Amino acid sequence: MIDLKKIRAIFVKELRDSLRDRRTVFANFVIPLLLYPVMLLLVSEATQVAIANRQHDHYRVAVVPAESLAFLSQLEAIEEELDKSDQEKARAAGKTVPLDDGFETKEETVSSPRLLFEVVPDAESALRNRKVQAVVRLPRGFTEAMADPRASKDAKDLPVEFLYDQAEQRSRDARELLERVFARYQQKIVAERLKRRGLSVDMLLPFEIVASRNIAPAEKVGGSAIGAILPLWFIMMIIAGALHPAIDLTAGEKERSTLETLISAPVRPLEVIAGKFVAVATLALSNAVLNVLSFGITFHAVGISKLPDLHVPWAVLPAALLLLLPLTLFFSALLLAVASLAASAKEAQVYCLPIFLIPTLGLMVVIIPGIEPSGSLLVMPVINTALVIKELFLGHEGLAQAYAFTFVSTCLYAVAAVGIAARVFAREEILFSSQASLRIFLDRKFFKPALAPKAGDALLLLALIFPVWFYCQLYLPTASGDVAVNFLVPFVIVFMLLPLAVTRYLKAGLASTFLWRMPSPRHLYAGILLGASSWLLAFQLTALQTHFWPMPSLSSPQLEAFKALPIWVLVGMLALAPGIFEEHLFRGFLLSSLRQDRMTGRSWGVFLSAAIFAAFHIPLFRQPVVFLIGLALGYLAWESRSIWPGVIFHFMNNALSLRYEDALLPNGIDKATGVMPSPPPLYVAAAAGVFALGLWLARAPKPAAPGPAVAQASSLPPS
Amino acid sequence: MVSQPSMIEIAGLQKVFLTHKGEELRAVAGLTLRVARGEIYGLLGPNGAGKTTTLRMLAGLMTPTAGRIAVDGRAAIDSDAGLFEPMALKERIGFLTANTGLYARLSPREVLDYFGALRGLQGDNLRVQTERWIALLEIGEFAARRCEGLSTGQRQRVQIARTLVGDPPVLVLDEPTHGLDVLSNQLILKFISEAGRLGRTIVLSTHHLDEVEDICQRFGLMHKGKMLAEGTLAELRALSGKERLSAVFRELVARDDRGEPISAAAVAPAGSAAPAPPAAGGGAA
Repeated sequence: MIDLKKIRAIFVKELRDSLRDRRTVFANFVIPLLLYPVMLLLVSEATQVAIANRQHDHYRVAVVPAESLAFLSQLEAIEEELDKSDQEKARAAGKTVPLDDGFETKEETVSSPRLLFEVVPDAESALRNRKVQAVVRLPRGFTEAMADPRASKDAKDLPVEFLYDQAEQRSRDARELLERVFARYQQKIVAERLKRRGLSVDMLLPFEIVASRNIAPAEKVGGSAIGAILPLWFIMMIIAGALHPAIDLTAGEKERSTLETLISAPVRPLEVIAGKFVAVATLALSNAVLNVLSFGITFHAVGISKLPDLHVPWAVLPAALLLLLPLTLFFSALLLAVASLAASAKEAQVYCLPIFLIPTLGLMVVIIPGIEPSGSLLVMPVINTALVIKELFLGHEGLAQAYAFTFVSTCLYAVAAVGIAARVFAREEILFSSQASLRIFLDRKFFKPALAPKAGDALLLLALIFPVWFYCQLYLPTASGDVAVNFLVPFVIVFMLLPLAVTRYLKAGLASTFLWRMPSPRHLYAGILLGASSWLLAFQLTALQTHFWPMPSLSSPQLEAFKALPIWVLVGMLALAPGIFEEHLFRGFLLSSLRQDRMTGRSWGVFLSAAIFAAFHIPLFRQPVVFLIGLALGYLAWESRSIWPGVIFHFMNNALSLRYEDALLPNGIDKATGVMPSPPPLYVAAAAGVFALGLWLARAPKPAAPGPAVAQASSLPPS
Repeated sequence: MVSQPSMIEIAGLQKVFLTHKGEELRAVAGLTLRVARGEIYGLLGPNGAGKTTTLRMLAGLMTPTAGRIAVDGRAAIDSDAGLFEPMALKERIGFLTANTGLYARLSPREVLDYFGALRGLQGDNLRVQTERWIALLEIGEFAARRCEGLSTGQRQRVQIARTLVGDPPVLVLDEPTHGLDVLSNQLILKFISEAGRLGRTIVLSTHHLDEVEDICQRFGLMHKGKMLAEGTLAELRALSGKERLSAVFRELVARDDRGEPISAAAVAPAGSAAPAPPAAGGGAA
């Protein structure tokens, strides 16, 4: 069992050691405190200069042919008119006029740039060389045609052409302005011609759009700007904050040959990695928080006077930070694991680079407008966190499910990453190697036969299965083909074949991992009693739960299709298959690994396996009850050292609740309130009694004289 | 003479490494050795004989491919029974090697506190232990300085203190005097023999054969992963016909390389009776 006092001693030492490391102090404390004030001051100065320049700015427009120049200068008056009406509209709608650099600026400072028409020898090459921002090509006789009150020329004979360079922001701006000025000029001509014929402009323009008003609160506008950037940046700071300590505490220790000193002390690899892990996570999180605080304070201080203030929705910050916690743990553990593989700090930096780059590239998804945290994105590490935080900042509601999924899946990934790190640390070939050790880590030749996979490997597989399973749940109901086949195939593959294959690959014994031995009759009875009673208790608990958590509508095309199936097929799919396959994954593969690796004792092992078992049971509403059943299943498997009592328990529980659901709920669930009626109290009381008896029977009798470890160990599988 | 109970029992110890190409490398090939309680045992051998690997397995840092290790009457490793409990070894053994480093940014006192805590010491117990070893190894004057500023000799004293915090009954010292000057060397050697007199069981490996002649009660001579010869200095002298330990060593290794028999007299084959008790003045003192 793990000794928390030793983990604490390692944590304190690593933190103290790191805080005395000038590089860590500089990267994690000095830079955040100094960089942002300096950077923001520079940016704000530059912005000021840019805004000031803009006021005197002109777009240079080449005119073809040269004789049109005189006419075009007349457009100046129209430009001024446009400028004025823009400002009036802005005043009516809100306070500020957006500029295209994304910042918002007080209206007083705004004055649109002007068009400056000129004649140049080769207009197109001048545009290409950025001497001018646009070219206007007018047809011959344009000026005369406009002045002609009878409008004798057809519009198609008077083509007006604008040339611009799409790749240049200023050229695009110039074109936009040209179009607006010409459109206004067109309206003016039309109005004049109509007037001359005694007609009103209203004939052509029956109404006028006075103003477009933005109803988003300032928080949302600020939130959308901040929401896109802040999660990205926060996550990058977490990785940056974890990077140096993770390398220093692993590959650095190897390089300074203090690692051998450390592991010669009576500490387990898991305790070493746990202490280091907590230290790295602390430094990473403090780095991220410090960066954000420093940025926030600087921004605020500067923003008051110079930059427009972005309204940060402070209220959602705690929720956002809470979501970043498992992500911090995930990255800290991942970096620790990868850096542990390296023999030197330099090598570790090369290995760790992708961990910085890949998420950064992935996070670009978050900036794409309209991408929301749903579907398979919900279990995509890093991206789900960034998306949910973005939504939080936007003030969107109904995020509970997405938030919970992101949190749970990231926790799972973090646990898996810790598992990998512990696995790396437990491998003497890697600890004592002077070379890169990825091959040793993966090549089956280097594995030793074992009774069960290492706990870290098991957790890693579970974490990898989770998104796959989530994806199956999400998309298979809509897939074409036979409902039962669609349901069963992923079940068999994900819950059964994959763990079997991984167990073989890791040279672990199949029978000892999946607990295939025959149980004692006592435990078989326990399984039967528990399965006979648990479903009623589950109904009762669900009914209680609906009083404060209304049952969501669970109808789906899949469920509708299920109803059409014969009952024996349904029992096979929803009772027998889960009974066998889920037991193999959660009680066989997972719990055995936790136990054989001595990572946990009974309580923690059963708790952890039940929690992961529940995490796989989507939707959220089902998870509390599933967790409790998972506790009982785990306890039974732990005590009986056999999978079969649990298979019986699980099968009976599912089958009986399928069979008697309609009898217990003749009127179904109250659709309006979502409240489920309780089963008759007498039944519940009887079930509770039977269940308690089952639990009592499940307790293993005291083992005989030779310790179970030795007795079991003799059944090591052949290599 | 009553034979003393063994403190360390190693039987049939094997270690096969896989190289990066996946080839097998037999570093230790069926080693058997016993060390009595309170004995100072010198494990000698040329480079690549498998000394360091043996000591690492004994200290619980490496898993043997096969074999049995018991310390203080407690079986910790038994490959036949699938028993593998390196923690049982680590709890009873203080381990020091020539190439173990010290935490540069910590002071000696902090290092000792740290390793004391890892041995489960707390509060006053921990403080008393730390101060005791600081005093005994004369670390006091630099106990608060950071280790990065210490001389090699000072560092080695800290390392020895580090192995002793928590009073493990067995010390495993792999080349403890490697790279030390004469003065530091003497201090360390004096300390080792004192620790032996105080009842510690010590397994020691070194290249400086002659300087441990007087310290160790018994010697084991390793060559190519096997025990070539084992015995007291007198027994080894008789076996080889040489006086100094370094000469004994050269002679026996040369015989083995030529394929000549070492003479079975002093070699302790696997599973033989308890080895000869230590010379007078051993653990009984």
